[in-house]
Amino acid sequence: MPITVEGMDTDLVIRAQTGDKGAFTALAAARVDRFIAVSHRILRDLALAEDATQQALLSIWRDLPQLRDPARFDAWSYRLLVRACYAEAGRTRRAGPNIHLLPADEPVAADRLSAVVDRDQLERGFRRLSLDHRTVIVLRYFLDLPIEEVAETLGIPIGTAASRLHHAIRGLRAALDADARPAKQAGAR
Amino acid sequence: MSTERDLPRILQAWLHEDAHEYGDRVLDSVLDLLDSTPQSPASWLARRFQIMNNNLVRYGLAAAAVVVVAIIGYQLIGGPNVGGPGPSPSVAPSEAGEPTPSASASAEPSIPADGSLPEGPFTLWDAPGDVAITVTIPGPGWFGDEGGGMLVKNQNADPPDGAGLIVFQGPLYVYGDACHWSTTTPDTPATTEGELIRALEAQTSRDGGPTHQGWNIGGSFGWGVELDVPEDAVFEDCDEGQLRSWVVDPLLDTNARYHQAPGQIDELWVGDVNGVLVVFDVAYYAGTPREVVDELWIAVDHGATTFEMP
Repeated sequence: MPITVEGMDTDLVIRAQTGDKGAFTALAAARVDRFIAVSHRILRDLALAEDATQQALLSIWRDLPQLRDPARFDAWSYRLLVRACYAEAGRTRRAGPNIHLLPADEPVAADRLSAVVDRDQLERGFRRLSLDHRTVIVLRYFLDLPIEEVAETLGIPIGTAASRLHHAIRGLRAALDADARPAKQAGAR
Repeated sequence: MSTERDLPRILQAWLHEDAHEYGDRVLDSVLDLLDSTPQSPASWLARRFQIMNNNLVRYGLAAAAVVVVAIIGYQLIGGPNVGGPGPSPSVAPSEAGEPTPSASASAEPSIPADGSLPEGPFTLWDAPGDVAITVTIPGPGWFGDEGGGMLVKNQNADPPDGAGLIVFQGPLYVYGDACHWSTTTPDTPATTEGELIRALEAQTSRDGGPTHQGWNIGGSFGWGVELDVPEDAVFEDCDEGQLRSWVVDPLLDTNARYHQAPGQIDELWVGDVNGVLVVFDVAYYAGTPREVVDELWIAVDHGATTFEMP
């Protein structure tokens, strides 16, 4: 009689913890697409995302016996995925600069964002964000995690996660504004 | 297409669009690598042992001076009153649980004096009608009777540095007060892991530690529970000079788990094996080398541990 069953996945997790490769395969198969999607959005590079996902899944397999609460498997596995993304980003520069090009706290006029923002602008703006900021945005707005779970996934206090998200949004606004500025300046000539 | 306040919504929509990542190839690669990627052992026990051993060294030193209790502690090795109903016919029921100050290791018939157990499978428990339990002796220096429900390292289960493993099965009567146990025996036993853990949590005269769930032994899932005998416990003030946690049969007063010294630490695995309550109890002291305690758990927390229903 398993104690911690809160769904079929918990049972799979417990089995996988004891080396059941079939159970792990089922867990991994149900998550691999999502993992790639998350890491792709964080890293902005599909090849890196696949590498990060592979490393994350292997880390999950290796460290699964150390997971104390199988019911927390998903939060724990996303933490390993994020860690793998950071490792991939650190291993190569292909993911883009991991720096703030614009001060995140710089006030941004509302009317600047009233302009049309297309996908390319978003892509460029998003790439300008730091890895920390891209990650918190993806966890919050792609995985739709509450800020408490974002914090848990990142292993940081809730207040820090909220602050990081706030600055990430401000940074993106600033990046979008900077992206739009040359066009406006050019148009004024 | 946006305003400032819409940015999170726009981001959300953008992040969710054109998501067509497929992980089949990655999954195949991962599965190919599983065989060459060994799983790491669960280490939360080891970490806690490390912490506890560091923090409780003084408890172990204090326990070393309690000579009488140490003698009682010897019965952890062979006395049926701490080890459960495993076959040990050489010990009369009337002697169960009684401290025997004259006892010595050489006089104890249930411990093999001529050598340790061989490494490999070992029948830890095979009492008729109970779940038979086979564990794996992980290395040299382990002693115990076949089917007797106990393992001891280096024939030393005493304070300040001994360690032993005891297994219990079946409903357990958890005393309301571990010190004043004779008047706090419950009317009904704990028959499930939850009942046992709740009863232990409510028990006075003991200190409880963290509880962990989902710990798998032999394909059965149970709880990790930590209990400590308070360092300031005065056994002489307790009923019959004993501090007890539970008893299997309160009428006959047999198969009781009584403790050996202040500062003694009990790490329990409390599990349900096909409806049978099973408890592995690793008892040790602050002065016990960590590797000895870890090895005790390795003996049971091993993929080869089996439970065989009667």
